[in-house]
Parts: sequence; structure tokens; C-alpha cells
Amino acid sequence: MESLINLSERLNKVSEKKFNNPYSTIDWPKRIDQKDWYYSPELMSLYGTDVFKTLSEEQKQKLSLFEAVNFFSLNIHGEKELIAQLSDRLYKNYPHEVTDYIHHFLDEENKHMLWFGSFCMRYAGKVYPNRKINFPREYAQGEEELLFFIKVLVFEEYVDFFNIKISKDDRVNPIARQIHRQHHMEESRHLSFGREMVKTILRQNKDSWDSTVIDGIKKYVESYMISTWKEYYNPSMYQDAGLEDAYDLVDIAWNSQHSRMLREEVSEKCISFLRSVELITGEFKV
Amino acid sequence: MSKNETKNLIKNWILDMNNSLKSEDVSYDTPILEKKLISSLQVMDLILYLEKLKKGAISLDNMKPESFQNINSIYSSFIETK
Repeated sequence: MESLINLSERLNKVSEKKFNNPYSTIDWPKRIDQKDWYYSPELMSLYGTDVFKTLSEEQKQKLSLFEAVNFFSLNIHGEKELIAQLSDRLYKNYPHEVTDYIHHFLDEENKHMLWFGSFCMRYAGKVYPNRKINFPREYAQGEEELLFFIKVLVFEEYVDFFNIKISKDDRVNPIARQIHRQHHMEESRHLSFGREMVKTILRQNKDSWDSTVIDGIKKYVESYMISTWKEYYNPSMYQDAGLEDAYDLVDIAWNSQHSRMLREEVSEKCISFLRSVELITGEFKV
Repeated sequence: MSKNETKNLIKNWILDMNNSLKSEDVSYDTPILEKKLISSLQVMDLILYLEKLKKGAISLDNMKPESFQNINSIYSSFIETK
């Protein structure tokens, strides 16, 4: 717990220092041109497929806008759940330094959602609906806490890869780059916090779990990583970009060599951390 | 496609997800959540499958656990709705 407290103290100072007004951070243009890039082409779900090669530059750019809308939508849904769950942890089981950081975490996630939602509503008139759900179930002592922070970690590790790449890609429209850049600046602190939380919860509970619980957690972690990836292949973005056979495109995109390699690359850091805490032990591919 | 044909396809999807199950183990009102025949992480695949069956987007207003109680509730929540 001491390392979590020390880390929280450091993160609290940085979050206070970097505190921003979300209404003045982003300069929102009244309208945007669909003939522009809003997502790095190489990160788009269909990149590298025969279908992508047949698309005109204009079609690719239009699709890039809806890939961005999907990315921001899935972030909104992820962060909505995070905020609900995280706020439930305020003033409960954690020392005040950790609680103070949870306040920053909540504040920063709320700002991110505001930016993502503003982009989606201003330039696409919609946020794609959430395709994920949680079914109620029973947990061993500490298991639900661990799974919550693992889910946050996986989700944010994936997202931050895209944030870094797109924020540095000068082909991408400045408004999209700006959102990714701002997101990354705060997400890197959330990731440090998330990794420390996972390690702390594991240290506190692992010895009390039998092999059934541990195997269940490992299985869930792998399934969650794959399921989180599937959100990046949303048929609605193909439909909105005017592409035919949107449901076939989901399969084409998911199975393409480029997509597999991208998923491996993006997930590498996360898998490496989860291996270090022995939550992934066998061969595993996303 | 008739109502029962669609329900049978949903049933086959559930059987595909659970290799040890036999067809006679699953009826339209088998409590699939209670029996853990479907996990929350499989729902996204199921929704995509339902959209393929319906040949278009489905309303996700009914994305709540009760909608996944059994095949009848999946059908009425996601296929039968306008």
C-alpha cells in the first residue's frame, strides 16, 4: 500500500499543476471538412485490406471521420462506466492520498468525455451506442476490485497507443490531434495509477484465492482483452461512411493480417504487464 | 424468416458457444444467464450476429441483463422491436 500512497501523492501534485479548463482547452471549429483525415490511415480498421485499396481518397477520409467517432464513442462508454465505479470507491477503503487522486481521475475523465462527446455531436451528430454490458455475478473477496482495475488498465493501454500515434500524425486534422494529445497527457498518469492498483490488490488478496478463482480471473482477462478489441470494428462506421456490406467488412477487417499485427503491437505493453503479475501465463494472442 | 427460424438460429449460436451442450439442452425459455451459457463478454458478438440476421442495425435501448434471460427475451428485445 505504501508504494500506492507515494505514487498517489506524486500524481496529485502533477494533476493539480496541470489542471485545465476543458471549455478553453480545445478550439472547436464550427464545421469540419469531410475531405480530411481524422484518424491515421494505418490505424484504420480496414487498412491493408483489398477493400481499403479500392476506396478513393475521399472515401477513406470519410471513413476516417467515422473511425474517429467510433473511437471517441467507445471512450465515452468506457469512461462512463469508469466514473460510475470509481466514484463508488470514494471515501471507502483507500487512504486519503488515494481518494484525493480518485477525485482528479474523475475530474479528468469527465473532461475527456466532454471533448469526445463534443467532437461526435458537433461533427457527426451522434455518439455510437454502447455494445457492452455487465451481467451481475458473485465474486471472491477482492476479485471484483481487481477486475475493475484490470479493465480500466486494458482499456486505457489500448486507447493511449492511439492517442500517442494520432497526436503526432501531421496528416490528421488539428482538432482530432488536439483531443488525442490532451487525452494522452492525463491518461499516462491514470495508467501508472492503474498498474499500481492492480499490484496492490493482488498483493492483498492473491494468497486467499484458490486456483479456481485465479483461473477464472486469467480467463476473464484474456476474454476482456479480445472483447475490447472488437469494439474497434463497428459496422455502423462503415455504414455511415457509405460502404456496402458493413457486416462483411467487420469480418474482413478483424481477420486481416494488418489488423492482427496492429492488435499485437498495441496490446504488447499491456500483455507484458499482465504477464509480470502472472495474470497471463500461457500463450495468448489478441 | 419466421419467428421460430430466427429463434433456432439464436439457439444454434448459443450451442456454438458451448461445445458440450446438446440441442435438447436448450429451449426458447432455458434461463441462459442463470445457467451461464452466455457471458457478458460474448454479448457484443451476439449483437453483431443478431444484426446480421436482421440485416441491419438493431436498437440497443434494451441492452440490459433481463433482455438476455432466454431466447424468447433476446428475440423480443432485439428482433421484434420496431
